[in-house]
Amino acid sequence: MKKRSLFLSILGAGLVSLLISQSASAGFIQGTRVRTEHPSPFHVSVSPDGGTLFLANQSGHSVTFVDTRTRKVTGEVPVQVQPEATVCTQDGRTLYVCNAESDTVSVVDVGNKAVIKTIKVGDWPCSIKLSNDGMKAYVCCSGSMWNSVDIIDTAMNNKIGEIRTSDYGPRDIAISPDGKTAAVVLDTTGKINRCVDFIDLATGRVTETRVIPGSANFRGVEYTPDGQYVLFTMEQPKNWLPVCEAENAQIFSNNVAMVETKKGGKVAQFPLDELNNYDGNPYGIAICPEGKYVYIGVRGMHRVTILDLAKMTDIIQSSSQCELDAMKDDLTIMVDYLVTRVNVGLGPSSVALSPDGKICYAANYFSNNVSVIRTPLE
Amino acid sequence: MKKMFVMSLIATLCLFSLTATVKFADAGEAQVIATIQTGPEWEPLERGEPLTVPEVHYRVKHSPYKSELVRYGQFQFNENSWTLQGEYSCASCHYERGQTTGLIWDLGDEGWGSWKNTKYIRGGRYLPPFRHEGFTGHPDEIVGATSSIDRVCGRDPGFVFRSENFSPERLEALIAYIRSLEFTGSPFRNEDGSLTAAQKRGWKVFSDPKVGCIECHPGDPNNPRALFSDAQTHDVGTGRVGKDGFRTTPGAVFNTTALEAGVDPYGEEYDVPIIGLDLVKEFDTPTLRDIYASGTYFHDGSAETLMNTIDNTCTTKDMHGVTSHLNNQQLQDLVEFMKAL
Ligand code: HEC
Ligand code: HEC
Repeated sequence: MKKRSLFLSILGAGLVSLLISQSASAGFIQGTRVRTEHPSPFHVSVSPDGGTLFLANQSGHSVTFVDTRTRKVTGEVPVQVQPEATVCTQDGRTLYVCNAESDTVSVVDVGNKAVIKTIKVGDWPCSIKLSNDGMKAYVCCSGSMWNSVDIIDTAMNNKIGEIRTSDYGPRDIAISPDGKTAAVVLDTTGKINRCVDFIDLATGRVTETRVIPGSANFRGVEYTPDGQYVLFTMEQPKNWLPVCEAENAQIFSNNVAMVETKKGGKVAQFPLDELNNYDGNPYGIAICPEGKYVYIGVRGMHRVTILDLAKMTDIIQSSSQCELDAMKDDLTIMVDYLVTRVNVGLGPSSVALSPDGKICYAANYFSNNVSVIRTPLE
Repeated sequence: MKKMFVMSLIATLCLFSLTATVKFADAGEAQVIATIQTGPEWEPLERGEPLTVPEVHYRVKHSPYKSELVRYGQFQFNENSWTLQGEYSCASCHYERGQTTGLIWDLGDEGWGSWKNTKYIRGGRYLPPFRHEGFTGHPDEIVGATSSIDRVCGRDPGFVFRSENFSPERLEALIAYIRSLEFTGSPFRNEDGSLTAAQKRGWKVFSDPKVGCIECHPGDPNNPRALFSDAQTHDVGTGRVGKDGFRTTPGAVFNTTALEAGVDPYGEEYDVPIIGLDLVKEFDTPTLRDIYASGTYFHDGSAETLMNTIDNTCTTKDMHGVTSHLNNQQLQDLVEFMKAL
């Protein structure tokens, strides 16, 4: 039954529009059957050579290609329903696209701008990363009662296995710089202490599950280039208080978690909020290759927040776990590691960096555009 | 010579940037240098004058399926600038997928201390009354949904949405969005949509009159429109008011020892257990469609898993269906069946 009627009608609509006009922009507003002309880019990724942007259009059910030099749209490929993530192979030839609503991954030939295969995966695939050798793709299947990271063999383009996460809702995955470990954030419905799993990629086993106390709404995760930490966006629900007490940081506060990757390491929840200036609903995250800056797409407040990673590292290194725990609600501390906030379009859900880290791209869901940000590295 | 050239270049650039109203920043300062439009340009609704009179019942005038209206609503749902300091949005509690984060909250409008599980709002249009206590709702009127949102998001500033009430236009858009959210459908059936063997066995238990599920959760798994709710409220032993006014459900979230000791229900410390107090014992029968995706269960989230809803650990014995005579396999099958809905 699963999403079948919707899926079929989309398939039908897709075929018709293919026949008529080769256009891919007709889709549905996420979660509804209401037609829309708005592609609604949910995710942006960059080709390894930095030349092309790939935008996963959640409502447009397509991927838009953009040339980064001319800053022009160069094509659009229809995929299945509700694409939420893409990743491009090292040779720049193949693009993998997660279709969240269809439970599939589309394999796109970048040169011909055509889907060459569609692979069935688990419930609600919403994030995909490649192994360092490019042989495998790991797909987070984030369904509310689903706990698999599906493995795709990129030579055959088949699903060859599954990694079981420790709980439901694997939302995003990052691969360690040495390629041996993956960090998977679990956005488990109903949990107030959500977790991050560290997975040994050779065996496909979870080696450690780190609990983040009082946390929810995990979105994007990244490793630092030295592999010492993972950072991910999250929110802290303050739901042990009646909401009438809601004052500063009392209903939700918005944080970026920084977790030492060594076993049993420290966990810090750095506030993104300042008094009267909250970074509501932080989503995508990117860390520059030199490890200097962290970029966060703040979906609810329409800006990209840039943080100084060295300063954050200092804080985590010089503080005890107890001190770090006390810090997570402190609205005065953000200024210490804030570089700047850059206003972008509406609903920046994802950020990605050029290979040299000099340009940051933000996909603005509601504005249907991409903000090109010159980073402080430039 | 070269210097002059550079200077004049800078001057022209400055002029250019002034006319183009681009901020000319210091080197090293991050800024947006270009915007690439990949779809139609789009602006949200004007903020408009907020509604201030709580009693006013506002009705949707336009078709709720009008695409632009629904998209404005989706924007509203995912945007934070109308909260006091931009701290959260509807999506923070309800998930951007229109589902639920499964967090429980003390929203306060049914009396403080009455903890409520965040509702799964997909498919909600099918099924007034709204909210766990089943307030409001004439099935033929959107006003049911309106009042639901009113009360959740509070036209009363100071409740969940502290800073600003919505203007009529924005409220209308939000309602249009929520009403158009569809159920997702289960990922646990066979490829062709039929029930698996375990699910079929579970369906048998579910529809057994001695067990009684089907009485309050009527529906047929082969009918895609079935809702598995009678849209009534019932006392199923989930909301009991104990001595001193505290509820006594021994659910996983609640600590009965603290309760017996009469600990302050709000607690002062982070790790003091949450103790709720219900003002009513009867709750709206929720739909079982998409039940796999709605996280913790019952009005207060006291059942952590689907199994807990039927194994008598969170309810008074045999008040929520008669299940105490079922063996473990039958209970498992029942859970498998529910996952298929
Ligand atoms: C602080 C968390 C929180 C936020 C933020 C929030 N909700 Fe809710 N919502 C809840 C809870 C908890 C319930 C269940 C309340 C009850 O039943 O008493 C609920 C119930 C609802 C319902 C009733 C659904 C049904 O079928 O009965 C609707 C509709 C709704 N919310 C819409 C919204 C909208 C729209 C927004 C944003 C304007 C919003 N909510 C923001 C927590 C939240
Ligand atoms: C007398 C009517 C009645 C009967 C019989 C009944 N239910 Fe329920 N059910 C309810 C009500 C009312 C609630 C909501 C309780 C609450 O929120 O505290 C509920 C809640 C649930 C929930 C949790 C849904 C959610 O979203 O939180 C599940 C699952 C469920 N019922 C399954 C069953 C099964 C399976 C049976 C048969 C063993 C059954 N029910 C029998 C009325 C009934």
